[in-house]
Amino acid sequence: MKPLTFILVLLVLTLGAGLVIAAKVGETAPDFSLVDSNGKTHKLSDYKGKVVVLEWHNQGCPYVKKHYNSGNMQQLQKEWTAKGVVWLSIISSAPGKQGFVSGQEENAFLKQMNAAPTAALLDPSGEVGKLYSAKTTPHMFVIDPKGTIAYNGAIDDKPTSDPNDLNGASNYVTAALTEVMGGKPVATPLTKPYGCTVKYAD
Amino acid sequence: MGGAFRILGLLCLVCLRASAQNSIDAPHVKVSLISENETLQRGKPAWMGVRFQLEKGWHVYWTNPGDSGEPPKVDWKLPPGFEAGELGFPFPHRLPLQSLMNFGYEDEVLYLAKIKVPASTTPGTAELRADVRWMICKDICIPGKGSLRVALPAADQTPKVGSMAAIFQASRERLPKQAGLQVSATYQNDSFIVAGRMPAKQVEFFPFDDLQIDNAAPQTTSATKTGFRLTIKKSEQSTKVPKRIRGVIVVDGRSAYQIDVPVSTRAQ
Repeated sequence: MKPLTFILVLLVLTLGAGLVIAAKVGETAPDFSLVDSNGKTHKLSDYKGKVVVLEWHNQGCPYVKKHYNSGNMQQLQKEWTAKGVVWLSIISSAPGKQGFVSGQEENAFLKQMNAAPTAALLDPSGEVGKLYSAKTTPHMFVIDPKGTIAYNGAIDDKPTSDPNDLNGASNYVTAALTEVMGGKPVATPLTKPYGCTVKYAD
Repeated sequence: MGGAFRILGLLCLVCLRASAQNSIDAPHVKVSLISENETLQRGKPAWMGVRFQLEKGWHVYWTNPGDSGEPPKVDWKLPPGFEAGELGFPFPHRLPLQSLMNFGYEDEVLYLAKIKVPASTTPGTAELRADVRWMICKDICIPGKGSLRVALPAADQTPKVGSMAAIFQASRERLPKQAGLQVSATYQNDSFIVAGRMPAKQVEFFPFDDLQIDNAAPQTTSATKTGFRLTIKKSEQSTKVPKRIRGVIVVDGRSAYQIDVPVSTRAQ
């Protein structure tokens, strides 16, 4: 192999490896562009300077139902969007899989649940889910105003589908948002997310 | 009048059966409360278990479910003086799902507990109850719950062995042993290397703690002069190398050992 070819191959390999690095706490949140349930495009980088929450969502999942039927998720959405946080629910279910919805169906769900995310983004290819290594529904991320991932993990510390376990649960997202909004480092930046697996395409 | 009472009586029997059942047929799973023996001996511990019989393709979880799901929860309601020991989880299987990994059981599993039966137990029938919550998953997940009861005669005689004894024996053999395997752990090149003093062809590690290992990454076993060496990839997400690793080592799919060892970062 000629030296130049070798360097080129090495360069391609390095760049290739760089592309598969998953979203990690303390690193820049990978940019993405997705269409919401109303057909509007949202680019993560458009929200630079703001605190952003990513919430992986599947309305059929028992763990998601725990947080929506109880009103827990909506309450968080309302509380934090009122404080200027951008809240993006992301649906990475593939067509034919549980949780896959049209924009219209998602809007009906949001209305019925009285949910209040800034937008519900449709990711049927699963591309953005995989970019963030989103494992479960829910799986939560908090991104700070500089665009750095400040929190990656579970919504709270009671990894069950039982709504009774909301009592006394410590909410990691509330804690991370409080710290990020207060300009403080996040004490618990990484936890194991819990829930159903994200229903990616086979 | 008599007829009406008879009908009421029958209805009542039906309602009793419904509220005092020892098994539940839920969608895709049958969950039963079973006893190893048909009778209890006063002052001698007894084994009870919650058995899951799953439809093909469905699974239920180990104490650490892996990347999704949750273990079943058993809340014992026992007569005065009875005490249930910690719920025993037989060693699990690796259940891959796309890029994720679950730890659990397909087909069937018996979670079991040793129950203290006090010497002061009143002779006669003792009712043992277990309130069980579970999550079963295939491509989707379905939660379930139920109250299961069994009534057993308590006496001073040696317990009468029941038809479930073999299932209990098999499940106990799959419980991780507290000791019996000498291991050491080192960390190098983004991997944990667990060396064990026991000949083995294939070894699997199931962690107790979250975010230490990459659950889905293949684990590789190689033979050494003194036993085996198992290489386990570290979780990509975590930035710190843990001081200890704790979990269960399964040797050749037959026997399991609980381990809790310090992680050395110096190459051996």
